[in-house]
Amino acid sequence: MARPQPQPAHEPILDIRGVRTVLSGEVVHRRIDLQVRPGESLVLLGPSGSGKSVLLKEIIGLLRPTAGEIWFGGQDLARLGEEDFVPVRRQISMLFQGAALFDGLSVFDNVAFPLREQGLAGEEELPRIVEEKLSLVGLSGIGEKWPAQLSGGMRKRVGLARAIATDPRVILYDEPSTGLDPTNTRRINELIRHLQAKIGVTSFIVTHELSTVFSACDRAALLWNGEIAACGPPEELRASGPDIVRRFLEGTAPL
Amino acid sequence: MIDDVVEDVVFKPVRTGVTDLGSRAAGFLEWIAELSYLLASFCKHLAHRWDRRDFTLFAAQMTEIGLRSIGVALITSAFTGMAVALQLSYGLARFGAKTYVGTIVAFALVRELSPVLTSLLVGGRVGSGIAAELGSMAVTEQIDAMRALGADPIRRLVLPRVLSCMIVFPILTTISDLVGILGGMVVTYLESGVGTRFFIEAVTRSLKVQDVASGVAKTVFFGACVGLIACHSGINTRGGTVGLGNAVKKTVVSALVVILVLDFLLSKIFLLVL
Repeated sequence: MARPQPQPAHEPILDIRGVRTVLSGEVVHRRIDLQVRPGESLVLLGPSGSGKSVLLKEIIGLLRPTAGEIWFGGQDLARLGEEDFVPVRRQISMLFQGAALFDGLSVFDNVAFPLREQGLAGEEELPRIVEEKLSLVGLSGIGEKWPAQLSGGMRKRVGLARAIATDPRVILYDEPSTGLDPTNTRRINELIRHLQAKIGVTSFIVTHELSTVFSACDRAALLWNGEIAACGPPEELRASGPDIVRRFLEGTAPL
Repeated sequence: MIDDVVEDVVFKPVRTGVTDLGSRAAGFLEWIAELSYLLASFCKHLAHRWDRRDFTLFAAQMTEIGLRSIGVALITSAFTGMAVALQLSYGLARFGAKTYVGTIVAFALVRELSPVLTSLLVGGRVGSGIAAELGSMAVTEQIDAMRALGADPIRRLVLPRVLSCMIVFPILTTISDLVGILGGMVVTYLESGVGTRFFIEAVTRSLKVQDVASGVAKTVFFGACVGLIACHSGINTRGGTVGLGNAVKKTVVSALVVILVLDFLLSKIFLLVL
């Protein structure tokens, strides 16, 4: 199956420059420099505790980097206040590791949540939009169900439907296939590709899952010792990347 | 040799104790600062124009915090009123002052016992519930998700809960005042033979509006404290299920201690101004 090619672009959609993060006195990122191109699917790899999820949370403004810049849409996100972040979060959304569905809301209300909160759709339009998003992730007609009634894979897909509800330009995936069986992992990988092709969204994926690296991404980057050790197409990295990257991709890197 | 023993037995524990005390004091000040910030954010959102969702969430919390706490409040107040009346019927009979039972029961209940005990019991129930709910949301990243989806957790979670506490606590205390006095009246009649009509007359003659108002007004502050402390603990829960347990425990202990301390301070202030 031919992979959709990322749109040619000179300007990165997300430009992470010299990000340094210190949390509770511990240096998480020494210096991160990474550019994400429009329409591409970029995977960020790295050992557990290396700060991959922290970087995602810095991009969407849940955490602030200690130093450095994160450029998106002509704004430095690292300097934005909480209220200024609201319009940014229409364009960047995130799929959380455990899906983070609201237990007290039905599937319909979960997917409708960002549309209601951001005033993007009236109540009469919501059924159509929610159903459209649910069908994009292959879950039409489950709006009346509650999160507790769903399997792990379905929760992730509902989380994805909620993440694309506002038609974002960038989706951040935090370990999208963690805890899923191989079938659901493959399904999520296909969905990431499908959304990239269908709605042209840019994907920034944090994962340990090598199947995601080789089936759902255009480029992979390795976060090692608080820095980006290498970045490039995964096959290229495996064939001729730095030793640590090849060993990481082969599962033999010293952790 | 002696120096080592003195060092180990005296100086080392003292140094550790002083350091521990210092970090606890710093932690306490940080907690007060964070609660003050949360209170300021709450006031800011309270003053904002409310939308339909604000009213829906507020109504849901009024039901959860208010209606579901009525049973606890009624049982607490009825038995407190009955127990106080029982003790006073026995104690005052020694001095031939049984006719004062009603006045003293009512005075003790409306000024002190009903506001404090209702707030302690309802506060324990409501505070632990809020901390557990918001703490679960925090450890499963639902609060982060809320922010990431463009919602403000202070407005959607803290505002309806704290405001409901501030309204529910005085309402439940007023009901508790009535039920406690009625319980006291029944026991006084049974134990001392003081007629119900006489009891009611004694209560209405001796109680002033200020007595009831000062008791009820205190609970607005108790409610605000319980709500803020519980929301703060819940939202800041870290460390999975262990962290969740600690958050609930910390909420209940802190809220109850704050109610007791605040009760004394507010009682003094109200005695001066009312």
